[in-house]
Amino acid sequence: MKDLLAYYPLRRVLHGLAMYVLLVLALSVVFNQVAEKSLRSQVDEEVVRVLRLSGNLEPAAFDALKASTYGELKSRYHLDESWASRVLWRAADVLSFRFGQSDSLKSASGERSVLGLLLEVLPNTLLLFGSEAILVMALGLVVGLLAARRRGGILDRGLSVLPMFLNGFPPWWIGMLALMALAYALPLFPSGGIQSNPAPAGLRRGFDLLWHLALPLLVLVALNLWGFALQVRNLVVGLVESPWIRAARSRGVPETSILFRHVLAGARPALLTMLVMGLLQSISGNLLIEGIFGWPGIGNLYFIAVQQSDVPVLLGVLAFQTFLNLVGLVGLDLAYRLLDPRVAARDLAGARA
Amino acid sequence: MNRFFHSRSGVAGLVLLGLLGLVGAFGPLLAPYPEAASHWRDISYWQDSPAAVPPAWTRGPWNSSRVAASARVSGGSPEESAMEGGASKLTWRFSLNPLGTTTGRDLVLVLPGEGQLPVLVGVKALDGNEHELARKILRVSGAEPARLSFPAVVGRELVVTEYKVPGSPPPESPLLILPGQVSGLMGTDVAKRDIFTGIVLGIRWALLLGVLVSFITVMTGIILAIGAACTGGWVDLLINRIYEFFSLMPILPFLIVLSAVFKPSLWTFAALALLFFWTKAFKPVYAMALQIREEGYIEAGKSIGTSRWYRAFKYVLPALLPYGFSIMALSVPGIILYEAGISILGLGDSTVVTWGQMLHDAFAQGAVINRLWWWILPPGLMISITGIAFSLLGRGLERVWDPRG
Repeated sequence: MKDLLAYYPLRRVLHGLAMYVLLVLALSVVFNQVAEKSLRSQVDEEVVRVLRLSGNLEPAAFDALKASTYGELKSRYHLDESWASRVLWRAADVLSFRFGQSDSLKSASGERSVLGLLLEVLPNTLLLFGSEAILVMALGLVVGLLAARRRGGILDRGLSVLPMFLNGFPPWWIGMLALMALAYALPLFPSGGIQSNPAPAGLRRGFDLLWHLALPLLVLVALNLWGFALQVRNLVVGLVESPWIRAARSRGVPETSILFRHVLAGARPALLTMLVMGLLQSISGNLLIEGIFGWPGIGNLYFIAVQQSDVPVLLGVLAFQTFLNLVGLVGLDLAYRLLDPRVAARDLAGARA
Repeated sequence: MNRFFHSRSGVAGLVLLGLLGLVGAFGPLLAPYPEAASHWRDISYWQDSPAAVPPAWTRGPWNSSRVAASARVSGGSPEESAMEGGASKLTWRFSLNPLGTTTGRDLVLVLPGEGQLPVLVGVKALDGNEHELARKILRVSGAEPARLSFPAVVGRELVVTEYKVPGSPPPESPLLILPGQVSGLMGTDVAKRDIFTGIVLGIRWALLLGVLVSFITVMTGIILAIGAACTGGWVDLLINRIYEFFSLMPILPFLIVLSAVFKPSLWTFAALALLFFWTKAFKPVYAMALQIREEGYIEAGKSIGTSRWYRAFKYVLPALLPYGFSIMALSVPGIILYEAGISILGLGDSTVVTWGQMLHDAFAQGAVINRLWWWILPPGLMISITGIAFSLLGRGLERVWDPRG
């Protein structure tokens, strides 16, 4: 057992799981009252449905059916137990991804399962923010390397102040301006959503999707590119001074080879960290952008659920997003060790010592 | 302190914040609607203003047909024509052209009187024909005259007819208000509110919330970090675990759900923010405190027999404070952004006016679709400017403790 726990990836995953359990427990305690309020009204709804389906009954049979249905549903949802056990059951439900039924929101297929709603919108969120992360990384590398090449140049100096200015702008406000200017004043882009209605078929469907993706993507990339580029610049400037780069240069290794085989290879773990952290931060920090553009992702689900005050959906999305966040962080830690053998070696040495 | 004044960004930030503070403090005196703070959501307070009109400075040679000023036209003496039974009909004619335009004016008609007031309103169109606009029996009391509004009226004259009945006092002359087609420094929104006034009112809440929350959160973070670093042992471990717990929560989603479920006021938002934001200062300060703990002068302090808490708060805290101040300034933009983010969802505190709430109203009431740019630009710009001012200030303060930067 001790040997097994010395195996870092396992320890990291277990630690992540433990943190998730704790977070879910905390959520369950804080939101127990509101969660049960909607659960109770859903039980009432279900009882009414059962009674209506049972047709005409004698008063005594009616009361008996009512009582037995209530009892059955309450014990199924553990509503008849003590507070502590209810909180634990709620937490256990969330941990096993049983987020329950929404109060009113329905998925495209008409279901009210919160998990169904989440899985329906998750690909859209990943599409938007995944393509943002890739674009920011690609363009940020170019801009950051250019700035690092000419230190003190216009680009370099601009890069040191631009992220600070852009940090002050609410991204969703920029989204509103972009929508107003580029979708309504100049109708270049669609006014929101993910697809035209009716959606075109075949290959044109893909283009239609890209056309809808373009404006929110443009806003996100334009805002987040510069901070990433500045980090790349700082990273590269630090690496260029390192002994192995200087050694390579003195050996007469060509510049492009230094850039790709030495500088970028050395920067890989840090770049990965920046990419994943940027993606996670963007998903949770820029979720309002989705609401502004009507992009049917997780962020938009918050928008709709807040407007309809659909508590089960809100709680489900929150738990799910916390889970995604943790998966990202743990995955990042594990991937980091694959890319940077020095970390694993240090750990191993530490475990032996 | 000298180093601060040598940094251009620090001075720029300070100047910007000074300006904001001045406008925030004295702006309500200059703003055209001084009582707006308590009447922001009071429809009748704004009823005589024009709805959704652009700022006054947009009026230029290219659109001089737009009328700037609101005009109040009194009816003067009416034409009287006798009816059966001693009653008579009183007709007032208001020229719709006192300020040079006859097309598309929003009109507000104020009708004083007492009790029931039958009234007939018509408009004499450009072709000379008269069309009826309203035929109503209004209930009026002396204190509160009746108001009728007519959106986008085209015509030459507004014709108002009331009736004089023997035995009751003759009807008083009505008053016509022609709201301007441009208004003020920043125009108005669809609820007829003056946007400049809203912007000025928003300053105090942005500054108050930003400064208060960042001060308390950063101080909490610093004290916990020093406590953890200087105590060590299980306290250290516990505080670090608590830090990890809170830092794993995605802040915006948590704030949204907590606000949606518990419907907080500005003060509960501040309390919630406190719960999450202390982590931002904790980690860097903790790392620095660990370093400072090993410095020679701490060892020296130990050797002369000072207590652990004396060393923590007399030696370590003062060394970290300048750093803390720069974190404070740098964390203000985030706090203001989070408040605005919560407000855009419609979860803002409805007893105050914040820029985020103005943007929520704008978005919810179609400012984007109708391209009411004067409603969307100013609040967002103010959020940005305030954030940038604090960032600049924070950079200047960074110079104080790290002159290399």
